[in-house]
Amino acid sequence: MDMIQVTNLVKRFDDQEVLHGMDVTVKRGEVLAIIGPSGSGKSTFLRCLNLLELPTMGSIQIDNVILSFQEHKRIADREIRKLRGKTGMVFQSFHLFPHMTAKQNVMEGPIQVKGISTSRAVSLAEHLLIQVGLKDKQDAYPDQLSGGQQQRVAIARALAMEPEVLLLDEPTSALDPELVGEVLATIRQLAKGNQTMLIVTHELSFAREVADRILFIDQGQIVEQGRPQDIFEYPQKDRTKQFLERFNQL
Amino acid sequence: MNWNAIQWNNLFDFQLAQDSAWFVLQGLKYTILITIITMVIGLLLGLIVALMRMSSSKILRYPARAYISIIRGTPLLVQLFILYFGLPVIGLNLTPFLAAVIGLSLNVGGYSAETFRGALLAIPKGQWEAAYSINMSYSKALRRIVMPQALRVALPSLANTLLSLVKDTSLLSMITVPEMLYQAKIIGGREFDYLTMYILVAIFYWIVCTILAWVQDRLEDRYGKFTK
Ligand SMILES: Nc1ncnc2c1ncn2[C@@H]1O[C@H](COP(=O)(O)OP(=O)(O)OP(=O)(O)O)[C@@H](O)[C@H]1O
Ligand SMILES: [Mg+2]
Repeated sequence: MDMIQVTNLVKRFDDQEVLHGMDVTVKRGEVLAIIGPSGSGKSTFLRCLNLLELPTMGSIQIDNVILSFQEHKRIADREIRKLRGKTGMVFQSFHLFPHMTAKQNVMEGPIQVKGISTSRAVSLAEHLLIQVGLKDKQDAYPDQLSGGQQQRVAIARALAMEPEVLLLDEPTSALDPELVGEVLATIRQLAKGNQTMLIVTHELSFAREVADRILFIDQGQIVEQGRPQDIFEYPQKDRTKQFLERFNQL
Repeated sequence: MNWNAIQWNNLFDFQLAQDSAWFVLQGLKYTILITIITMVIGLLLGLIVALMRMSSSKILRYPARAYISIIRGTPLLVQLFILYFGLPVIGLNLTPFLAAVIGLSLNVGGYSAETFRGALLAIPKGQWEAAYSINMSYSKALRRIVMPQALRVALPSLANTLLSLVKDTSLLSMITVPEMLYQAKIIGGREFDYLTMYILVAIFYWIVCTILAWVQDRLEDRYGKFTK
């Protein structure tokens, strides 16, 4: 069974349809980079996967959990959290909990949601903070950390829940250029470690390097997908070509 | 104005103030007790009403709005009179103490509901989403993530509510709760010197409120920001 199977996913806000029936499959351990112009629905797609947005129609399977959606059908919180528990999310602007230290941010989910003991949560958090290179900042509060450090803590926080799938929505877009590298290095390392990931990004060269597959979305539809070298060197569709050309000019 | 002609003793009789201080202070325990009970009940009520007011369900939202509107739109003294003098008419006899606690709690609830609502709305949506993204439930996200931040936002305003509450307990003299003003009026009537007694009560209230304001400052220093 594939890790993710999204079928005919439709998302409407009021009467504006933002995703027009997307079908996406992701294999275990695969890294999928999602690219596309602003407003094309990349974030909405990602947010539908962990149900921060409720899809209007279609179905989502992640690991062994399947949910299908219809207009006006209410989904129980229990179902939502079952699917959401398969995912972790990294936001463009981090959203660390400002009243907790780096370590507490990472421990919060395991203790409060999974109910593991404090001592185990501490060692888990310390282990993850080492992994993202921030052991020495474990007692710092978010406002004492740089953007890049905050984002790495946010990645550790997401990983602490041991998600099957990590969703990253433009994880480096809010960072000063000199801080982008450290976050990309962390993500690169995760990709090597077989973590299934969906990354929305404008860092095309990074997408090319780290992703197993590229998904190009425009106006709420998948225009083209394939291996990075195919998409970047031999794009088939005009819209993909235009998008990549505009980027290359920058 | 001829300062030498003023009868200072008619304004404030030190001897009387000194002699009656202890009697008036008997009322302070009511002030303190009622303030504490009322603040706790009122804040809980305010939080619940704020959440109802922000709910997507009309059945929760409308009663909350009506409640807030009534509490904020009518004088506290009138609310207390209605509770104390009105309820016996429909067969509910309240002791002055109970009427006081109910009336003031409802009042604190109405005002703090708006404070809580404002503070909760001030917390960025991203904090809820981050809490949900680590699979917290609504109530856990509220309790662990949003509320601690909202409380910091609400603290100055809640401290004002507390100071108002302390001072508003003086209104309870009107429904025969023997708090400080009530006690003072007894002596004022007996000694034909209300002014000394009112000034004495004012001084006591001022001292209590000054202490509370000092505590508030300490709290804001401690919890006002997120780093140590
Ligand atoms: N909560 C919302 N309510 C109404 N419309 C929304 C909402 N969220 C997104 N949209 C609309 O959905 C469309 C897709 O938005 P989305 O944020 O998914 O785009 P995106 O591809 O992530 O863009 P960007 O690259 O700028 O982040 C946009 O037209 C946007 O205005
Ligand atoms: Mg986006």
